[in-house]
Amino acid sequence: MQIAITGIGIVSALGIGVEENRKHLFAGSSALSRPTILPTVHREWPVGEVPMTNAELAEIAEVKNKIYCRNVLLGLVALQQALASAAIDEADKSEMPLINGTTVGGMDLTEQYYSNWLNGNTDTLHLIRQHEAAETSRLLALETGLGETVTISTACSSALNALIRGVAMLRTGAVRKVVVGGTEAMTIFHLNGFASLGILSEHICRPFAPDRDGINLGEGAAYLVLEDAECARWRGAHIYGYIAGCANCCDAYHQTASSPDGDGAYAAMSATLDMAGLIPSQVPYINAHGTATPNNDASEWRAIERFFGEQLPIVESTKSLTGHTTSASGSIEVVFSLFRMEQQQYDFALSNAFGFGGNDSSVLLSRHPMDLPENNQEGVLHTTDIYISAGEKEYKTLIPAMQARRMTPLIRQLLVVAHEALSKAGISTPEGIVVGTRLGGMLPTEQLLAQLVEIGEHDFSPAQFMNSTHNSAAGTLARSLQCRGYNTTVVSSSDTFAEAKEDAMLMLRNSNVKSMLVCSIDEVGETWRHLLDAEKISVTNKVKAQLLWLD
Amino acid sequence: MEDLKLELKRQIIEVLNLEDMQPSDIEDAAPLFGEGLGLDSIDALELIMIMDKHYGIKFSSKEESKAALASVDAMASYIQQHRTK
Repeated sequence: MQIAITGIGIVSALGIGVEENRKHLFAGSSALSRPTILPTVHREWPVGEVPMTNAELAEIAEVKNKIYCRNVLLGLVALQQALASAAIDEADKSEMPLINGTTVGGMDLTEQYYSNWLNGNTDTLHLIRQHEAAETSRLLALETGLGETVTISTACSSALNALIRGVAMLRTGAVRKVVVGGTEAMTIFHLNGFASLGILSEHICRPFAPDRDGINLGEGAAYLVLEDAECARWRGAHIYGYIAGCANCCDAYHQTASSPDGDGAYAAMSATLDMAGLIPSQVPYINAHGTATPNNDASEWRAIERFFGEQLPIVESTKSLTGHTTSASGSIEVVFSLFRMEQQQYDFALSNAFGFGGNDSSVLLSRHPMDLPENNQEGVLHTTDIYISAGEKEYKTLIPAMQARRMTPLIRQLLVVAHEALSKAGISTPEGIVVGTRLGGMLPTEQLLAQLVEIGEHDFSPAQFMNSTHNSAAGTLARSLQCRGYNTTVVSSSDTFAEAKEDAMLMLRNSNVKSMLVCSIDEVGETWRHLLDAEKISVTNKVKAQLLWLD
Repeated sequence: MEDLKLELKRQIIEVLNLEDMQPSDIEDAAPLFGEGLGLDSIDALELIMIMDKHYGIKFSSKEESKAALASVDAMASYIQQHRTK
């Protein structure tokens, strides 16, 4: 089958919509400056803010009477554009799934109202509900009339992993059109988190420059309508380009740093070209992840050099214009790659997005129709039992102390049940890992939120920030098990294990992966327990693991 | 000086979550990073926070912090010369 891109919508610091973004991208005009919208005390770091207040965004999105977090507002504007440009019939929308990449969710509202909650005022409690990334996806679908939602949170590769999930869904033939992409608003929480890692630059960032000294944070959203090309041609849709291949791999090296040789990046680019059936010399252009940290760019460049050899393509990073739009960067940069492909008449364009935990993804776009390989893996599916722990299992014999110290107690338990499932199956390293979670590492998140209220924007612990991210567990599993294959984190407000298993099954049948470790990790602290109790939602702090394999 | 070193070791154990370690397990002169205790770049950031929070020390460059955090001995002597609280 062929997958066509029939709709695009984009919001970034470069502007609102396709025209403004294309114009400013081609002009190379950087939109990085001191923050004027984010209410932070930090003036020292340039940022790439979308040049509109929440009220202005709500007006464009026609949701003026509602209180939505900035993540939803940015997402909604981009999503409405994507659906309009694809000229989707109203009646068809409810059949279309939305695969949304986001990590911070409604963190901006949480930051605004958390002190009320700590002071015993529960009037604004309902606004904190948008904190859940899956809830923001639900609101996006609700406002646009789209159908089911899937939320992917793998930090800075989220939007590209959402695309990969959407491609897998189309390849089953069960759906003909999907919307994929991501949205991420800047928040005080992750600005301070990135600051704690010591990777923010006080200058306009300089990707791949020898004197580069870190990133500028940005924000934005971009969505693409992906469609079975046959269906697109039949309805006479405009086609912006085609998906030729895509892959997600794991560096399995370190929580934040990329490996010196860029093994994860190399594997992702290589698997993407394998899927497309192309050789490196056929790729003329890469929109690199290129964050401008000394580590990322050195590692990514090394991977590109190793993979492309003498015939280096043109390598560009657009983060010096928009800043690093984190969870949205994957889809924003796919849109930029489409612009470049059209402008330069490139046959192909490769786009990279890498996230914390060495979560490395690539997608290859094509100007011409490309057949994707038939790849419905047959074979008998085997499963182990589901192994569960609520915190009681002995971990010290399994996890070396120097590794355990950086893990939250529940992540240690997850490793124990993962080992139980693996040893039952007689497999030491799975080929892929999928983790489902409701809120990610909520205990460290709540501690950092309370710290923001109590002492303000300083002294964020980098280790705690890393453990607050949704894909911290999946990254830890990959490092510990040395699993360099598919690695994703699905966020859900319902059955997190079931959602993870659905993703794993899809990938088992539609990729080369033969074994998948499926896990869930659910954790709430005191605050969220109160909040969810009020809605009669029960979340028990526990982990689950099961191994699935084909043979 | 000995008191300061003991205090530092306690802080390192607490902040870096070295649960099963005692201050006596950390040698004064042993390198904290790489071959010695085996700390990494995230630990370095946590140690920089200790230096700021407890001793009012801010480093002006990576090289400076690297040298000052090389061992407990190095940390203690740097603190003695530069502490502002």
